[in-house]
Amino acid sequence: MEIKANREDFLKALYWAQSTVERRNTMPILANVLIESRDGNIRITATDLEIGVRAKLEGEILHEGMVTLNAKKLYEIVREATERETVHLRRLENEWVEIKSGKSVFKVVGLDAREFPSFPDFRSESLVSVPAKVLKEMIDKTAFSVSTDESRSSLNGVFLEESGGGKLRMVATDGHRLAFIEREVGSLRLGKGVILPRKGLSELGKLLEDMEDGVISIGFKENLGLVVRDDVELFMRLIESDYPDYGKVIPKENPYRVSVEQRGLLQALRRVSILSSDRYKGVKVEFRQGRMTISANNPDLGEAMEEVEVEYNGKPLTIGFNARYLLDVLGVLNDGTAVGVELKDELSPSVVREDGDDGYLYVIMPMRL
Amino acid sequence: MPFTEIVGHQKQLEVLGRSLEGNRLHHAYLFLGPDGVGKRTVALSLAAVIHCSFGNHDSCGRCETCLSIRDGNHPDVRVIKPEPGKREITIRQMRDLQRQLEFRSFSGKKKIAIIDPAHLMNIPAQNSLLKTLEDPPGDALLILISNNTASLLSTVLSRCLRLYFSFISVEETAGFLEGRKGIAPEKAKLLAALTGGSLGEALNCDENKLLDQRKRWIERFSSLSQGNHRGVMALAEEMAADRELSLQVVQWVEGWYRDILIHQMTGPEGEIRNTDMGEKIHEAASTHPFKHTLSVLSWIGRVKGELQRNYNRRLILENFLIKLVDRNPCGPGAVPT
Amino acid sequence: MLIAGSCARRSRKPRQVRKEAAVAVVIPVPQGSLAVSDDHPKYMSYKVLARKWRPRQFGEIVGQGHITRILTNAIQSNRIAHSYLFTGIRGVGKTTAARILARALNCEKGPTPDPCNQCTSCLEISNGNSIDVFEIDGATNRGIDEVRQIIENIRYQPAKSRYKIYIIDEVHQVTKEGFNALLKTLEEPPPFGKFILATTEPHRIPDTILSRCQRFDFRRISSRDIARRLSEIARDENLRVTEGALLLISREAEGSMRDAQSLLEQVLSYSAPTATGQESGVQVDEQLLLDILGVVERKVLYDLSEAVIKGDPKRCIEIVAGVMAQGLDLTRLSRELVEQFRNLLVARLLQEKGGGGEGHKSESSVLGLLFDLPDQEFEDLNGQVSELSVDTLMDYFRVMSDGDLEVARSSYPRFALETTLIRLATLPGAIPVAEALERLEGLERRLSGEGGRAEVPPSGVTGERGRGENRVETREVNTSESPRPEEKAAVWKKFLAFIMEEKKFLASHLEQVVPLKLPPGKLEIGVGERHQLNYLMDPENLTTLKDYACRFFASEVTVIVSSLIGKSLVSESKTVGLKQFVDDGKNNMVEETLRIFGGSIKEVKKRAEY
Repeated sequence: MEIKANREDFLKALYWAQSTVERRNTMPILANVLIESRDGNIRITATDLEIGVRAKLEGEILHEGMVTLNAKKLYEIVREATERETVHLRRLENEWVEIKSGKSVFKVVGLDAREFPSFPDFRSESLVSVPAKVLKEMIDKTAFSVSTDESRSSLNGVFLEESGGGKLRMVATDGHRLAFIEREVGSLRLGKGVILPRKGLSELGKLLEDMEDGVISIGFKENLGLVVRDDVELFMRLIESDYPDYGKVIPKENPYRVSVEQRGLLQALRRVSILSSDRYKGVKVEFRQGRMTISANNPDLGEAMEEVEVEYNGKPLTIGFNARYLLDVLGVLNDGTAVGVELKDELSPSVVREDGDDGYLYVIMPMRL
Repeated sequence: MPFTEIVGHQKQLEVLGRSLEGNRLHHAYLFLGPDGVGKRTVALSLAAVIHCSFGNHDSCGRCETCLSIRDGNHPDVRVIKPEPGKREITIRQMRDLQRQLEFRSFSGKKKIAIIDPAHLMNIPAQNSLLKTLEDPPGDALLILISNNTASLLSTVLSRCLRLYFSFISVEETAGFLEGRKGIAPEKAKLLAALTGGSLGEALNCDENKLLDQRKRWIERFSSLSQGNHRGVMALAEEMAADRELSLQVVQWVEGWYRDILIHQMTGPEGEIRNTDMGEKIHEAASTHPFKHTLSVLSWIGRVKGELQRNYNRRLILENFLIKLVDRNPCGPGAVPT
Repeated sequence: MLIAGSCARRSRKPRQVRKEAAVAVVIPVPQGSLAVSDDHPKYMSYKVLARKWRPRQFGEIVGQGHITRILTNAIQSNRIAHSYLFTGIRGVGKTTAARILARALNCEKGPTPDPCNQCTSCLEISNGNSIDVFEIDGATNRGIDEVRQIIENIRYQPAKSRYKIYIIDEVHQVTKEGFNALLKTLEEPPPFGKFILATTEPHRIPDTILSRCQRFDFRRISSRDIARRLSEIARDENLRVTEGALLLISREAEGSMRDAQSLLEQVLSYSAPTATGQESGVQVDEQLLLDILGVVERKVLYDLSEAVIKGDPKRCIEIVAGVMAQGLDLTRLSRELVEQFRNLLVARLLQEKGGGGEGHKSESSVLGLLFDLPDQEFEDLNGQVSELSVDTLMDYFRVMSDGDLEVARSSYPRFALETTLIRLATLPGAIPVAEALERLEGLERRLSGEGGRAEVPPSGVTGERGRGENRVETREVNTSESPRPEEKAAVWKKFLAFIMEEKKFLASHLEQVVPLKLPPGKLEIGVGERHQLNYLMDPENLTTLKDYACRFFASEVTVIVSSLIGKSLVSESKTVGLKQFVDDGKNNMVEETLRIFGGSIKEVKKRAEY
């Protein structure tokens, strides 16, 4: 195998690969990237077996073939090459690879490319185009609620399902709060809902950045999901378990409604929570006619209190919340919008919505302080 | 490797084949049996049968899938063993495994984890595997491989279906070596006897080492005459130079004394290993009191343990050899008063 | 549907076919869709018996009525404790009971002692993906940080259920710090918080935790209960298993239902009808079962202990070879042998206690229970040990347990086991107590030169010919004066050398015997090892020896073989001083022992340790 490519193009393609490679070395080959030149394309693949990325490299093929090289070292070699320089990569005997750029020559030993796991095979007709911006919003507004408790695998990802009429839903919960979003994107031809793992979501999030009005292609097999953006393909293995029935978590009729301005509440919460306990960030929120009072109390440090003006006509209620959970949701809502909080009593879950957006809601369990 | 190419273990393969056909494959197996008889080979073959798309209730042994399983590169077939430089399989490795199993498989077929050797899982690791062993997520298959049950928790044992593997008969091993490896019949027979039905050992061993070196070392040992302390020092020093060598030689010597003991107990028809040294064994059996043989064997047991624990090799070996030569009643027997 | 069903049964991959059909019905999948994987899994997952037959109601849990009754009452009367501790050996229903309790508490139609197992809550708990029921593995989440996370979680109201329930399995693995962090929460959980801790090792749970939990000790399940359950399962799985085989499985399971189900599964994997195959598989009887389970037959154990007691190492080796050939687990055989010798020892102790081994009849059934063995086996044990001393049996037990450790460690368990058995079969002292004493007296007389000889039958040989029949030819010959000791030694040495030339194997046995009397007239040798005694008493060998003796001494020689087996020589000296003991020229055995083992005498006790 022999290829030539511009340093900048090389770096761009390697960027995806090197963030994917496995850090813990269960299989030595996974520390490497696979470089294939075939049918007029050069492609760089990396995987940790949970997710995998394949990026196309613009360059010149001198000889077809494939090699694998340590991802980190290759990335460093290319990065340190002179700007705009051509990087020339050539396979030698016995898995040795020569990398030349400018006047520097590297000889690096690789591993047998046949050991590299093959990239899942998706047929192009099975992919569906989706507006990138919408998908990005859906991920941003849910992914933060994914559970980090590894013993609860079904909650370790975002649940994705179709709700009919071209609508797509994403749900995430850790048992203490739940984020739900529904948007119209067209059918993904998804049979049953799937759970997208956290790491796959975060890579997908990166892939969707700065896409504005672009579209990406997305498709699913029973075990895998695949996303294609121009020259980059990302696959992720789906989480095995069934997602719990989340419908019951969402309260149907909370009788009281608080209306509050997003930015004001966000800032007040940030200030007060400075003095909440480090571990669980508990704040006490008192809802009264026309105002809500947020207070925190930390026996080691002291206490804080702030009043926020709201529209509220319900009965007086005092509820404990994890400030972080409120901050998380306020952070993803549009800046300065009116936010509605629906309440029932001290022990029942409350619901946060953004005015004018029926497709999004956030359930938050009260906490004992 | 296809089932049909595996040497021995017909009963075990039949059981697995039957379970596959009847769709009754358990999710947790414990393959029990002595080292080197092919437990891991059978486990990998089972994985290949499950994943290979070509064979009919067997793997083809040639396709990309089969080869990657054989070479340990298949993303859905993992072999878990102690990490390099470690003696145990740790709880962290178990957590990694569990994490992997939470994902749907890479290929769409069964996820398979082979833990080999399972008795090297430390106690926390074993405990942390219990849930997975009982209710593995999705379509997973766990195969534990071990040469004993003593180091496994009863809670682990209770969750596994056991499959017992035994030594492959000396004849079968010899037949294989002769037929497929083209080794001369006499030599094949000797190799088979020496490795005692452990095909893995027979295949992986360095023949010359096993045949010639073994003989030479044993001869050196057995020819140490009473009170030859100088010889002892030299021998101990030479052996102590290399840990592997010292363990290996001690093991050979153990086999030698075991042959002597068997000969002493059962006479010439006893099943000995060092078949190329029959005459010498006979001679030694007749000149050593058997109690001495027993003592030597128990010394060897201790020496092996000490060598493994990396004590001062030279001291251990000197001590052993001195005992050996000082108490070796070489001449004809007891002196009555 | 009917057609699909019968198709499925004939298909090699029945589930797969069904699944395809189901998918096709529910969702009309467009061409080229990837909603379903293109390549179906070749072998679908199979739900093993232990999972398939996991009880779903309290009433289905076998053998724990004392617990399920209390739990049922507690739920009915709404007096549910906030923390429970379930203890018991593996596979008796701890986690199962915990899950049922969780379903009972959170069932949409509950709380009820009879969860519906239909509602979302019940189903999610069964599938392990309930939001409010945490199945925590104490082994993986054992540190203080993990425990703190639990505590933190319990601050929040349950997401959709009545209770937030924490099932902590293998809780004994939690660290001390972890337990401490848990204490306060266990004591005062919020009203919606429930803890169910489960462990096989309650002794490793700190008292502070124990005192905060309502504790239920799950019992070992009786063989009868297990057998009954197994027969239900076997019937349902169309497995033909005999009663005897089921009982055998039940006993092997040692009170654990899961073990029993795993064993039954093992039987299924050998003998179940294949999906393609015949209507039903083979009938499973005890013999087939022994074969399948790799169980060492009790008979093998008795054969081995008998060979050991008879001092027949050759037989031991043969038996081991047989076990090997069957592909059985030697480490397991070894462990069972430890138990066998333990049982023999206990049987003998009970005989002693019961006064002479006969009067135990009435107690027999009780003792049988004590051993966890059927009466017949108890009788067999008694038969083997009645002639043996407790000391001897203690030696057996000790040597066997030491050997077992080596077997378990060894990379060649066969070597280790063989060596151990040879050690056992050649242990000195395996002779009946009464005979030992009798012989001792005779020996004492001989050695002290009183000349009394040969009244003592050189017995101790309990070979096939039966005890006491094997008197050696002891022709009376006039005793002339013996040569002086040094001369005697030289003569004996020459004699050995002579035999060595002719018949090495015989010589090797003679090396270790003690020449008590040399010709002219008669050759009397004392033999301290049972297997050598056996060898030398063999008529053929005895004749050979006699022939050589006649040739060597050039006269008619009578050969007398006397047994020196036992601790005779050491114990005879009672409490004589060390010096005197060592100086006593007659202690051939001791010297011989010292020579072989290369020791020195440090202390003289009434009974020497082996």
